[in-house]
Amino acid sequence: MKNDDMKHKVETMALERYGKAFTFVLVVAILALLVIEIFTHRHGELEIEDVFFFPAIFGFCAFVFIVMMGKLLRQFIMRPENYYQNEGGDSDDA
Amino acid sequence: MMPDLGLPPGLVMILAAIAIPFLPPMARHIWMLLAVALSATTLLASPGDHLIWSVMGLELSLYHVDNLTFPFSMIFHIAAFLVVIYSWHVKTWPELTATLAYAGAAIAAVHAGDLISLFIWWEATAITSVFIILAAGTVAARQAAMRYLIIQVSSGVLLIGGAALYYFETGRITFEAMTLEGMASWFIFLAFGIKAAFPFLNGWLQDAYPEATPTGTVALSAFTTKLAIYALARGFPGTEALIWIGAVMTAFPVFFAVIENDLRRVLSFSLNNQLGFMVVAVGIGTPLALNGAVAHAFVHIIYKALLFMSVGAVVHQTGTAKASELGGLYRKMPFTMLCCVIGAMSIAAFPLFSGFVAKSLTMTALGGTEYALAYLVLLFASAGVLEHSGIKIPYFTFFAHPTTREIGKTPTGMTIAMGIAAVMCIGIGVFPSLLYQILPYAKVKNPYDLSHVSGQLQLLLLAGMAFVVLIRLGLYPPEIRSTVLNTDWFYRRLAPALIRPLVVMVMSLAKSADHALILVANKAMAGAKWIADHPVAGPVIPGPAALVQVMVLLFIMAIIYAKLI
Repeated sequence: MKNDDMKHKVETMALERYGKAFTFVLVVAILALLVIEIFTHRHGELEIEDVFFFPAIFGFCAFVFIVMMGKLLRQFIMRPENYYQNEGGDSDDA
Repeated sequence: MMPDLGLPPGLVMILAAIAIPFLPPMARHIWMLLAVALSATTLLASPGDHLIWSVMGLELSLYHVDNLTFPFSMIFHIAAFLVVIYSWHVKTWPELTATLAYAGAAIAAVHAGDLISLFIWWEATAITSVFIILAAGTVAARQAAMRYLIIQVSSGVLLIGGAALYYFETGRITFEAMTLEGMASWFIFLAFGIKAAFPFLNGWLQDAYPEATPTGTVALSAFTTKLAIYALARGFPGTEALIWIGAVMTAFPVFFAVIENDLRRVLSFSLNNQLGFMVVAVGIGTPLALNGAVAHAFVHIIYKALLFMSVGAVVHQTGTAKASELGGLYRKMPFTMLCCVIGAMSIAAFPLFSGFVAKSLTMTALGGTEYALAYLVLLFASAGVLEHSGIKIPYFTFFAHPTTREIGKTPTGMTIAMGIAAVMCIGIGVFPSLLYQILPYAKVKNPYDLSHVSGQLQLLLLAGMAFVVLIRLGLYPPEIRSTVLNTDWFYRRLAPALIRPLVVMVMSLAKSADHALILVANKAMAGAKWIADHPVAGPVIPGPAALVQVMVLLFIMAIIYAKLI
């Protein structure tokens, strides 16, 4: 039992470490994109896409919006896991 | 040189499937691979109609080949090959038989040059795929399979109804480009729409696919919906309504996928969202857009199969696909994790992965039209793809929480199939000309320019950063064991509640009629037995033989009647 707890703790720390490394790489990559955006001319399919860092801002906002709307949606369409059990009148429903 | 098997493409796989139960378990997969390889020789056929059957005055074209059939037939053969490899550890014949027959039916459908042949194979895909779902052997799978069957057969009924009306209106049954005028084309459009999982017609997909076995779900993800995309591309290219239908399809499953706990169901919502991109491309209808639809279907089959395969491998090892129960498997299943990440980066359309080279075509084609709103919806949905398939699937399966779960060795077939699919995802991403050279219409230019690459990376990386921020702030919704209501709720809960009193009344009437029918049948049988026991005088003709004669006579009369009309 103690061994399991220790393993769990080590795993948690490893995941945190990887999480931090991932975030660091992500930030560096975003900064590189920012530099490229400043020094080059990027053009999109629509005029609005030519606005400075538009895809980045759009992507960030869209992601946050999706997650927040998803959370809101849970209030309306989330049901218990066994919601559909015993449908169809089958006696052997599990 | 065109190989002449005298059979429509895919039919050889269906025939081979029939033999599977009689083969020793060890030989079944080799037999299946041989069947797929033999069927794949039809890819060498030149454009044209190679097999015409005259039936009741109608000419059925069962082996039609052109620029559009080729890429679909090729990817269906590749998918069949991957599924056989992936399911190498499965030794029971029902699922293997259904899988090979299902793939064969889908390939045959692609080569149907007329609406009647298309209907036959359309229904064949429905019936064979039902057995794949049933092969899971659970009560939930059985119930989902029955719902799935009803919906799929409804699609077939609409198709045959539409085909009959189309014949009545135009005097021909050729499967050709149509416009949405008149009931015939609307029927056919709806038939395709059901299989393409249009909004509100999509419930069957998320309901049934996750109920199949890990191997069965991979097979299911490849064929039915992409057959529908093929059918739309052939039957309704440039239909404006498809742009808006597709745009809705890309956006709305995204929200459901965020909160869904079953990761195979998340992938099913994701599948729906990806179909939306293809439907939009068909709706635009320009050569570039149609190339986009075909390219997207092609790469989608591979990366979606890869994602289902990696989650399937996890299900095989852990017995669950629930995000609330998974996590931390990156050390236990590193190869599966790597393949899952490659599939995730492909579907999210990272540069150098297959999704990027396909989606670029559709986005470029849409950007050149007046449908700016639809373009922005697709851009929004691209961030959604990253959320549900790019991040949620790998994160909650392999990271998220530590685990002390003990994991066995993943079956070799699963590992090999995932490896092949992963290599294909990167191969097509790095060398897009491999894909572009088989596209049906105009020549396509390389998608790798600074604007495309930096714009796409900005979108994806900042969306990824949003995920990191939300997780760190504790704002990302936690995984909760739950059921997320989908459009199948209308026929699983609402409709039964509304029509239950009517059903009770009809059922009691039906029961009475049933009793009466059985009574009559018993009397008829007793009569037939009496005739058999009491032969008439003169030439002795036993009663049962007389009944057979009557049936033969009726059969001949039916043939004559068919000839006359």
